Amino acid sequence: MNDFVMNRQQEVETQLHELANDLPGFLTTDIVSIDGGLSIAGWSSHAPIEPSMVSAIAANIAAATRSAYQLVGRKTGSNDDIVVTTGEFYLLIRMLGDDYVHAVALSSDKGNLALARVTMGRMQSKLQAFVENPA
Amino acid sequence: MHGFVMNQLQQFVQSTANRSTWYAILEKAELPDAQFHAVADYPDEQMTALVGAASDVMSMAADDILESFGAFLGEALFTTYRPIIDPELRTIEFLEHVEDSMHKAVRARNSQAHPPVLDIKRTGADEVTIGYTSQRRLCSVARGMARGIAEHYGEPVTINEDSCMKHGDDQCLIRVTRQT
Repeated sequence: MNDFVMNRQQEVETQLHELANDLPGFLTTDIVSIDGGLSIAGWSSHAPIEPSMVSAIAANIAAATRSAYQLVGRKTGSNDDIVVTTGEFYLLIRMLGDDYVHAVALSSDKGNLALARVTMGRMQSKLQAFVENPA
Repeated sequence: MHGFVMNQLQQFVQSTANRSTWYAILEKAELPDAQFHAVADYPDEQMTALVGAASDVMSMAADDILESFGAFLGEALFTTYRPIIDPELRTIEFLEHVEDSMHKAVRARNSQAHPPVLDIKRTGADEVTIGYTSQRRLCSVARGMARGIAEHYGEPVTINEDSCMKHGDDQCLIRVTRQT
């Protein structure tokens, strides 16, 4: 594999793995392209939740949020988190610029939303730098 | 066919023609209410029907539509996967590594996506040969993607298809040569 690709993927996956270890009830996390709904990197537990489904939900919600913000002339960066709660899982979505989001899913019985928000906030600058590769 | 590709086909038609052309294509393909979501997988027959209908509605040969769509799709995938693309690469080098970088990343986290397995060989300092064997026989899309990548890098290339499954060969061999 191209060294650049391998290093970039390992670097971000290490960060996502650390996040997984820090969060009780962790299910899955992905860096997702808003326009296509495709994950470019991620990490999952062995929980029965389909990561690509979480990515698609996150991308759709983020796209709608981005449109809504554009309508009122605000930048998406002025929004911290989008939180979706269901009986099965919590989904936290954090914008990484205008094109990508960081999505984390936690089980709703064990997940801690406050801890997840703080942990995601701590990682934001590194993940932002990851998606801003100038290729 | 992965929903991302179907979605991109819609975007392609709407950007090269307009929204009403897309609706006319859906009608012609007998898929009037179809909506394509990134999380889903769709029967290949739907893609075939849409391309056939697009050929009629847009008065273009199906292969020409697929090749133009390939260029559009290549740019969309390049944009999506930009964070893991080596900024030092150019057309030939990018194509040489597309299987072990982009396709691997697509498969790793997007279980519904099944990009074709490509057998890619560097056949010269400025040349790469792509072996394509998918039963979908969408080598025109692969040719278009190569062209789209070259356009992205602003490098003139020639693209030759030395053998083609549609002409009875075992595989399609697409040779991309950078003009120096």
